Amino acid sequence: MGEFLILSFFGLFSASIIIAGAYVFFAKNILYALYALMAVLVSISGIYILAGADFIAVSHLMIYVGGILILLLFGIMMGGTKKVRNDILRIENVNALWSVIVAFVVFSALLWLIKGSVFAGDFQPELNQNTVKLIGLNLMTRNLLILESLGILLLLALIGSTYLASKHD
Amino acid sequence: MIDIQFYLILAAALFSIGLAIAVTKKNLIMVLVGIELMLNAANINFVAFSQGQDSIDAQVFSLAIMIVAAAEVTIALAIILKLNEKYGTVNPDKIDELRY
Repeated sequence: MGEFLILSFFGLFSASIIIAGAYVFFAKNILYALYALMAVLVSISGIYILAGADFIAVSHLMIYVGGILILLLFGIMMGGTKKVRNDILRIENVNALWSVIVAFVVFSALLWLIKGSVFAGDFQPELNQNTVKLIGLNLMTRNLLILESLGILLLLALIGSTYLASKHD
Repeated sequence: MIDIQFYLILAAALFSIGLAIAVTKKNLIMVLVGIELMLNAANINFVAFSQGQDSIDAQVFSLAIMIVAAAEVTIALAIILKLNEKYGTVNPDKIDELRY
């Protein structure tokens, strides 16, 4: 029963990701495309929960849905105020058929590769594992360089974007 | 339980969709959305391979990818807003002069 439930939730989230992603591709309205992107991101968070990565799921929800998506929405809200040309709200497709074909070829190649390979070890989630403690300990001891360099990167992004967006001549 | 190959196939599909979006759309914000989807596909692979392992390095890496994506989006949106202010368009085909 539990296994069936997990499998059906995985199917639900996967279908939601694929369908909403296809909608992002085919949407004519940029606002609707961003709403579909929200469905994709929430479903990816569900996939992380099924994989037993609870901290990653929560921080994905916070960073992507709460941060990046809101930032993109603010971008089209602040950019779309110009009266003359509302190009920021317009979605134009170029070579849509060719890119769909190329994407399908890439997907088929990856599928062939995945189907043909054998993975060593069993990758099953440990559902009663506290990943928050593990990640915190890891970031503070073994992977301290990653934490520090990410902090510097975020500081650079903060200063750079503030400088770029400010009005100066 | 869920086989690892299902995660990989899902990530491959998401990557292909992101690739198609990033190539096709002539709107810089939608190009950003496509890049985000491709980064998320990489993240799904990292998390899928971190299941049942002794070390937690894969999840730390996926956290790092998320933070890089956030930094990238802030910088790119600042540039896009400036381009929109300067040229009145965000179509990368119409922005074809490098003069400031």
